[in-house]
Amino acid sequence: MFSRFLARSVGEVRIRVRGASTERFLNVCLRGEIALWDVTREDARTLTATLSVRDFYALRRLMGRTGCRVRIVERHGAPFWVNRVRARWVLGAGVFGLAALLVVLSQFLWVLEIDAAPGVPVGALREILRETGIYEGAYLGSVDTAVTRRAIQTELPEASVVAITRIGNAMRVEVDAAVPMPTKVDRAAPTGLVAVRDGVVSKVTANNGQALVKPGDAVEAGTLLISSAVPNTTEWGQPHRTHGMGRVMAYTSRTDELIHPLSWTEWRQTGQTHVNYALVFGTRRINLYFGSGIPAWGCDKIIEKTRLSIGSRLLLPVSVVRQTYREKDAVPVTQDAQTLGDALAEQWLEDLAGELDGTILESSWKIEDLGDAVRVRVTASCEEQIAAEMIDRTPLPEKQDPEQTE
Amino acid sequence: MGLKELCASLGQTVQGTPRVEVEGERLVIERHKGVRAYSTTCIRVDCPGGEVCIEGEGLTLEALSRAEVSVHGAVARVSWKDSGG
Repeated sequence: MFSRFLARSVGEVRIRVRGASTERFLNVCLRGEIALWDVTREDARTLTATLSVRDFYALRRLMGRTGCRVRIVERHGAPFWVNRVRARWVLGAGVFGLAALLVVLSQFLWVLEIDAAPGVPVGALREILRETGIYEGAYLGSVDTAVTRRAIQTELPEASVVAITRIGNAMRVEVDAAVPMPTKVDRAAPTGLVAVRDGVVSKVTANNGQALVKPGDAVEAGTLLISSAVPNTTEWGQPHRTHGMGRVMAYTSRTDELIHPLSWTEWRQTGQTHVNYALVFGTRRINLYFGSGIPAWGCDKIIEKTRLSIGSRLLLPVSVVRQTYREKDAVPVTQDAQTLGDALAEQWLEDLAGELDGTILESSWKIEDLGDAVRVRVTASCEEQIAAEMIDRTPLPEKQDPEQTE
Repeated sequence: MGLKELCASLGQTVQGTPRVEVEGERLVIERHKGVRAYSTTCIRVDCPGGEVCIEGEGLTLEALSRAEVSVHGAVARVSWKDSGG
């Protein structure tokens, strides 16, 4: 099969032989060392055969002996193709020029992707990449990824692991953030826990320090709940200060007043869309539409940018930008006070549940129609954690006899 | 044996006996002297000492050179006819 492919590439012709004695033609070819293949009988006086171009020229010298007429019916191979293309030199030059342009373009970096973890400053990272020769349009032969990696790790303390991967003429830079040291709790700092809001204590858990309240106590915001001053627990011990830690759960009441107009305007999409295209060559943009392209009516704009490539490794410095405009209309909306009030209250309770360190036990709301607006007073009874750390400057208790206090 | 017969037998030894190989729908004849007749139902190949007759349907000469003849098609019968030499 390979030899047939080679013979076809070098050049072969298919001929039609017509005459009274086609067998004589075959034997003349044999004696003249001319190889034939795919010899097919068409009728009693005609057969077709394939032979190489070189053998065809040799056959012409032997034609007188065959007693047959020979005519070429097909031509295959490079010599005939070159002959056809030779007249169209501009086509050949164009193909060669395009190939040369692709080779030149593939020597430059056209796509730079940066994947930085949160906490890594992307602006500073881009600056370092540019200083070390990695930017869109840079010559790939001058890029040294090892130098870039060292520069990032030296100049960006927020960066820990740096990976620079090159795929064709695209480069991907991935930077992981250094894990920050957790804040150490200074156990020696005199810190107590105070209430952040009013409530009735339901549960006290003092991990460190002395609890000053018990379940059932009513406390106000600012009341010291757990003190850093700890009395001595043994006869020989001394009162001392510590870092108060713990949780204090309390029954609290949360209220709020919400006011909202009964009529307002909402933007809703009509379903109509309008699409514009643009081409971006490097940093130069060419709009394929007239004017600003923005329709007169209100709309949402969605931009999609696609980089053109040949295969997956050769990215071209050309992008197609597709801008989709989705029309929307301002629609007046009116609701009655009851429906709107209920919705506002439920939304407020949902937000409260998300931020609360505890649970909502009961809730109620009162709706008031103000004519063009609605007022909603919402009340929620909760059980939540109310203790927060604060510097404790209460004086140390006097030394006690532990046996007497028990 | 006369001179003529001796030369004929010597020639046969130098040229060698023909060799026929059949592989599926392909038949190859080595050491031949040319094609006597060719049609889609019968091909007769001249060989030293006789001729090989191939009968069948849709016969074509896949390759034809001094070294071998390759026949392709539905071969029904292959026979050898001695030339009596």
